[in-house]
Amino acid sequence: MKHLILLSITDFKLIFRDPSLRVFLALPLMILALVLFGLPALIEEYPVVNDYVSYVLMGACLQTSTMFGFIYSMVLIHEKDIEVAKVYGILPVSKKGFIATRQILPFTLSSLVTFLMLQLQSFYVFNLSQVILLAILSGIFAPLLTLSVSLLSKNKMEGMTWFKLMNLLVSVPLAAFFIPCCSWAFGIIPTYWVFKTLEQMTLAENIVLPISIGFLFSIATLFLLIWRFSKTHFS
Amino acid sequence: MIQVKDLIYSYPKANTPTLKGLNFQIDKGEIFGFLGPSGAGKSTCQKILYKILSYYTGEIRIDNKDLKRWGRDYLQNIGVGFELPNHYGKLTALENLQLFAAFYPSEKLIKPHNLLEIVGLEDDANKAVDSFSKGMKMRLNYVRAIMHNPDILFFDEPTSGLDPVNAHLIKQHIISLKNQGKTIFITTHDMATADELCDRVSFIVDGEIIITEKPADLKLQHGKDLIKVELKNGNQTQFPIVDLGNNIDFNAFINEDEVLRIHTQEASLEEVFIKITGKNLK
Repeated sequence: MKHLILLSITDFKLIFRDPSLRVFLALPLMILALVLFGLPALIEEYPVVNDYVSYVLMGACLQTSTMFGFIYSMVLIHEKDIEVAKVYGILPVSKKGFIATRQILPFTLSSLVTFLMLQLQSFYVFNLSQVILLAILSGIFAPLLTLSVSLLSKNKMEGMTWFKLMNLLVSVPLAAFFIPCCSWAFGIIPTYWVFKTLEQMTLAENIVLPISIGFLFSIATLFLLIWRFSKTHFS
Repeated sequence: MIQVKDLIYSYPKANTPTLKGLNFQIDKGEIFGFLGPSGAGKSTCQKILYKILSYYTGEIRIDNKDLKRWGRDYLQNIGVGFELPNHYGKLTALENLQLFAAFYPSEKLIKPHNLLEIVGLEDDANKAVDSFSKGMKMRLNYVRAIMHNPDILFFDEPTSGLDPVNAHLIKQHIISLKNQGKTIFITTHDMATADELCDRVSFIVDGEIIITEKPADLKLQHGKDLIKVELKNGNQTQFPIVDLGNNIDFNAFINEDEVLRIHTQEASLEEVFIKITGKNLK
């Protein structure tokens, strides 16, 4: 346990000592502030925006996770680039366990900010347990993005390119809500189920089906990525 | 003790195996060296031994137990000195050591300050590693490999990037580890390092071990039984070592002028390598 706490502290130190990553750490908080304070002010000025609040919330939830995902993917890509990953490969710890526990911090931070955003926003009154579940589901996308971007990239430049592409891909299911006839087709992208769950919540409808599919889909993808990552990152 | 029998390894998608049936043994308290050119398979073999690479064929036994049956307790008991420096540049030397030390049982750990003192980095403990020279980073590599007092050590080019003074310091420390009974496996293409450190060496070329011997024996076997005498007046000549004391020509020659130096004509390890393998070490 001691080593994992120290590793989390080290990850934080590395982020804080890198000026570019430090800026990204502030972005999820800026998104939170925009939703809590900026969006109500915007609606007051332009009431038409009110019709699109649920979509703004969907995008904001996901961007929170993708920001933390981006930051931690840069940490992992950098350690692969400077070959520190090799040192982790010879440490007396389970590789898969090590990867999984290292994702706890980005997952927790993403879930926490998403929870605060959904709980404190002033447009809908959500059930607390539903908010917690959706925050957890949304938070899983931070490790999903961290692992997939660092798996695909050899260096930070490649990482940034892949991040842009992935960020675009995970946002694509938002389009589903503007073309209702074939919205389920977007279900092949895991983030669709986050958006769908949130839509059901805003309509005060049952969320069991979308959130269950969302959890199954994202956890299965997470396990697959951890397995693949453990085969490549340390050598 | 490390025993390797018929070790074959192929990288995924490679047409030919990188290791083609290696056989060797490293005893406790021995420094064993793999000498060979780049791409010969030296580092691949080490990676298998420290369990970064798997799916090999053949048998590897560590202290009489199959490597595949060893778990995390094996990794607790090995130390690896990588060929290139690999540290977090934004952390200090001390922070780097403390981070990796946290993964090992505390009772076996050597205090970071003591480690840094061994390699002359005690005054740089709180400096960011980004500000270190390559030699300083390599010394940090070295102490990270030994910080948990492992019984088996793997060093890949342990003196690479070091100035002569620090290379000597590291070599002396490796010898002191050997005297403590550690099993040490070195890979290098630096013949001088191998000659100075290793009890036995294997020449490895294209994934095959060509010969395994003591460096001194190799040099003797492949050298000439001659001595070369050089006089102060500039004259020099060679004489057979056999029955040198009764050699009239030798006695006459050394009485010609003051003797400047006498050298045996044993081969260097590099010459032996080239002679045996037909390959250069670069």
